[in-house]
Amino acid sequence: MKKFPFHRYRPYWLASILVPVLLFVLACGPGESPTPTPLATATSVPAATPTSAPLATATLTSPGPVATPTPTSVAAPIPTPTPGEQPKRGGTLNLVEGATPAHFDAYLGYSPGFQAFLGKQYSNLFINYVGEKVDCEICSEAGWRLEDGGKTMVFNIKPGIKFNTGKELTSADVAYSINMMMGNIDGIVSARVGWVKEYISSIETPGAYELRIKLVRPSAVVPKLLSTSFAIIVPQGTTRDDFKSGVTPKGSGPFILKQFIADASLTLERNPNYFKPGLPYLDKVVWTIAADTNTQWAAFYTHKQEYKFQMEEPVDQYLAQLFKLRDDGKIKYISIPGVAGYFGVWMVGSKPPFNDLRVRQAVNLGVDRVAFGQGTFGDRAVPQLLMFLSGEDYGTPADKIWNVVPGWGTGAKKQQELEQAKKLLADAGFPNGMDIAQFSSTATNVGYAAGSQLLQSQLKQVGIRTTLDIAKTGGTDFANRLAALDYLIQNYIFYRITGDPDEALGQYMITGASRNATGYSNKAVDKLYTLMSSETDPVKRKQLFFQAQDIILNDLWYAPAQNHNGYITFWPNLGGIDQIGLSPAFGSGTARGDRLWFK
Amino acid sequence: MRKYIARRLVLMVPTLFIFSLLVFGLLRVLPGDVAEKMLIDDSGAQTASKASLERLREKLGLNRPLYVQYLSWVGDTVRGDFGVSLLTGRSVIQDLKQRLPLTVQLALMSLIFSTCVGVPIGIISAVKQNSLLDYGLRFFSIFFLAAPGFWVALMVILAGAFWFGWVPTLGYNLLWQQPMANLSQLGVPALILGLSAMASKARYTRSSMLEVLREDYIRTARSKGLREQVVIVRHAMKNAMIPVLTVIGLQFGAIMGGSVILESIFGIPGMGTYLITAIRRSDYTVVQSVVVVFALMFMSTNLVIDLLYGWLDPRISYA
Repeated sequence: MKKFPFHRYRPYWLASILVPVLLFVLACGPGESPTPTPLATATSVPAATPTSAPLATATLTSPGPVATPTPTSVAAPIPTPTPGEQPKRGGTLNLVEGATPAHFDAYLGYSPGFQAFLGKQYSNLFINYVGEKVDCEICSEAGWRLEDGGKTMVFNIKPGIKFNTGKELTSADVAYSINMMMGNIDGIVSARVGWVKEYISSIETPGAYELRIKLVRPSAVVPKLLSTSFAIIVPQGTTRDDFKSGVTPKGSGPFILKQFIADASLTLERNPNYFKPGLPYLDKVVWTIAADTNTQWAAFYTHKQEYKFQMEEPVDQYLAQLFKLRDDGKIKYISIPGVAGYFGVWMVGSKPPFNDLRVRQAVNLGVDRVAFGQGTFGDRAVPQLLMFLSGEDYGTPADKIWNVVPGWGTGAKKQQELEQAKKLLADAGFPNGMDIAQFSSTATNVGYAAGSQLLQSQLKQVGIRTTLDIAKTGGTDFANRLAALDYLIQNYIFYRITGDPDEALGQYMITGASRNATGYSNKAVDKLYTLMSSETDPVKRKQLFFQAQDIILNDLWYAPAQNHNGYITFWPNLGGIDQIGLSPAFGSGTARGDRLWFK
Repeated sequence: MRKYIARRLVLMVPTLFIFSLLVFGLLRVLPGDVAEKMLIDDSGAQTASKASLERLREKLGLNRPLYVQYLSWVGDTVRGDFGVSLLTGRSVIQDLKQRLPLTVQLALMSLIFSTCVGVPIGIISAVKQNSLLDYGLRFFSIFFLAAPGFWVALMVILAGAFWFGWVPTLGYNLLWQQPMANLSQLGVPALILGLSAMASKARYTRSSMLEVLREDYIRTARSKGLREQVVIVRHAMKNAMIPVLTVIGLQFGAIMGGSVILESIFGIPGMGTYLITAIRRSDYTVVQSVVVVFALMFMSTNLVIDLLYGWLDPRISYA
C-alpha cells in the first residue's frame, strides 16, 4: 500500500484542528451584555387516645420572653447602617437563579428565589428587617394601633405612596390585596398566606388612608404573616392576568422590572419614586439564569454573583473551596434558622399498628438522632422539637432535648432505648417485629431521600422492616396522599414562613389543620392553641405553647428529629446583607433589598 | 426525485398524527397538572383548597374533556398556532422563535466540530491501521465515547471556576446580535456535545474505510497507478461516507436531545431548557409543541440525509 500523502491535505487537517481550537478560545473569551428586549405589558387587568401508659416524659420550658409585634407610632424604618460604614448609592447587584418565574403571582408562589424577585417590586402592609420588630411599612407617622382589646388593627396609610403606574396607594388597595390572598376576589386562596383568613373577620376602609382590620381574636401572627413577601400590596382591580410572566408588576417597591427574557435574565432598575427617602441604594438588580446548581456555585465562586441563598449546604464539590475562601476572610456566611427541614417522623396514629401508643413509642426510641442528624445534615444538624430549633425563641435548649426527651439518648443510653423499643413492640403484639410500608416523597431537597433511607435502616434495628412507598410526584401525589392520610409512616419536611408558634400548632397540630398530615387530634392541644393564639403576653404565650408541645410529644403521632440551619453566603463588598428578616426565605425585609449597598 | 420527496412529506402526516396522540396521551397519564404545580409546594402541603384548584383548572381549560383539548390543540397547531403556555401565558410560537436559534446553532456547531474532527481521525486511523497513531486515536475516540457529556461538562465548569476563574457566559445572546457573547456561551457546550459524536464518527469512519479499502475496485484503482490521495479521497472516502452519513443524520437527533442537559448546565435558554422546565411544570401546551417541533426537525434531517445518499452513490435512485 502506498503511503497516503497527508501533506497534500494539510489545509483540511489544519482546519479540523483550528476550528475547534478557535471555538474553544472564543468560548473562553469575554462576554457581552445582552441587548434588552422590550417588555410585555398587561393586557387587562379522632382524639388521640393512648392505649398504654406513656413513658417518662419531661415538661419542657423555655427561658426568656418572646418578642411579639406591638403597635408603634413610628413610620417605616429608616436604614441603620453598621457603625463605621456609610451606605453608598449605585451599583448593580448580580445574582444567578435557577429559573425565571413561571408567573409573577406572589400569592401563588412559594419558592425563595421567586419571592426575592417579586419582593423587590412591591410593598407590604408589614415589613420585617432583622433586629427590628415587625412594623407597618406603608404607615404614616401616626403608625398603627390596636383597638377593641387587640381585636381591631387600625392603620394610617402614608399619603403619596405611588404604584409604578402612577396610581396612589390607598387603604382600598390594601384591603383588596388581603382579600385576594384570602380568596375573596376570585376564589383562589394564597397557598402560603391564605390562612390569614382564619384570623380576619372583616376589613374596613373608612377613608382613603385609614384601614381597619377586624380579627376573630387578638393575634400576634397576623402582622408576621402580612410581612412575608407573599403578602404584597397590589392595586385594586388587579387580576390574575396581571401576574403573567413578563408583565411588569404594578408595585410600589424599590425596583421596577425593566427587562425580562424567559429562562435567560431579569433586570430590575431603581424606582425613582420609591416612597422611602434615600432608598434603594442600588441602581439595578440583574438575575441571570443557570438551572444547574454547579454552575450557580461556580458563578458565586468566581464572584459573578454577590450572594447565594441556600437552605442546604452548597454542592459537595464546592464545600472545601468555599470554606477556604471563608477562612481566608474572602467570603462570609450567615447562618439562618431552620426555614426548611425535617419536622421528624410522622405516623398516622388512627391506623394500625400506629394506633397503639407502644408502637409509636418504639418508633420514637428506635430513631438514632445523632446518626440521623449526621447522615442528613452533617455538622450542621441541630436538635429541634415542633419546628423550632434549639437556640430559637420557641426552641428547647439542646441539653434539655438530649438529656430529657425520650428517644434522644446517645451511646449506652441509646442501646437501652433500642432494647426498650423491642420490648414495647413485643408487648404490643409484635414479638418478631413487623413489615410495613414507609411513605416517602420524591423530593430530593433538604436531605429528604437520605432521610427516608436512614429512617428505614434505623427502624430495622428495632424490628420494624419497611418497604419504601414512594409518591408518584414530590408535590401533587405526595400532597394528595398526605391530605387523604393515605400512608402509615414517613419523615416529613416543612417550609416555615413566619417562625411563629401559631404556624407550628395552627397549621400542623390542631384538629383539621390545613397541614395536619397525621390526622392528629387532641382537644387539649386545640384548646391551648386557641388560648395561645390570642394571648398577647409573650411570656404567657410561650408557656401555653410549651404545654401544648408536651402533650404532643407524649401522644407521639409525631417523633421529632434533628433539623439544620441554612446559610446565606456572600462576598463582603456587599453591605446590608446581614439585615435578614425573621424568615430569610420569605421575610419581606430580605426580599425587598432596598437596604443593600456596595462598599 | 420530486415524487419521492412528496411521498416522504405525505408520510410525515400520519407519523406526526400518531406522535401527537402519543405525546398528548402520555402527558395526561402523568400524575399532577399545572394547577396543582402552581398551588402545592414541595413539602406536599395541601395549602390550596380543592375549590381553588378547580377554579384554576377551569381558568386554564383543564376541565374540558380530553378529546376537546386534543382537537383544539391539533386544530390550532395545524393553523400554525401553538397556543399559549398554561403557566406563563406567553405565546409558545414566540418562545420557540426566541429559543430555536440557540439550540439549532448549538447542534450545528457540535455537528460541524464532530464531523471536522471525527471523520479525519477515522480516515487516518484506517489508513494507518495498527500503527501507534491508530492506537492513540482509537483510545482518544473510545475515551470520549465512554465519557458522558454531562460529566465532562461538570468537570469543565469545576475546573474552569477553580483553576481559571472562568464560568460560562449566561443570558440570552444571539449570534447576530452579540457574536462574541454568543460564541463564548455556546462554544464550550458545542465542543462537549460534539465529543462523543466525534468519537462515534471516528469509529464508524474507520471501520467503513477499512472495509472499503479492501474492496477489489480500490485494488484496481491502485493498479491503474492512481495517486494514493485520489484513491482515498475519490474512490474510498466517497463510498465509505454512506454509513457515516446515516450516523450524522441520527446524531443530529441525538445532539438535539443531548442539548437538553447541556443547555441546563451551561444556562443556555434554548429548546432543551424550555422543554425541561415545561415538563417539570406540567405545562402541556409547551411540551406538546416542543416535542412536535423536535420530531419535525428529526424527520426533516433524515429526509435530507436520505436524499444525500443518492448524491454519494449514483446506484441509489429515488424514481
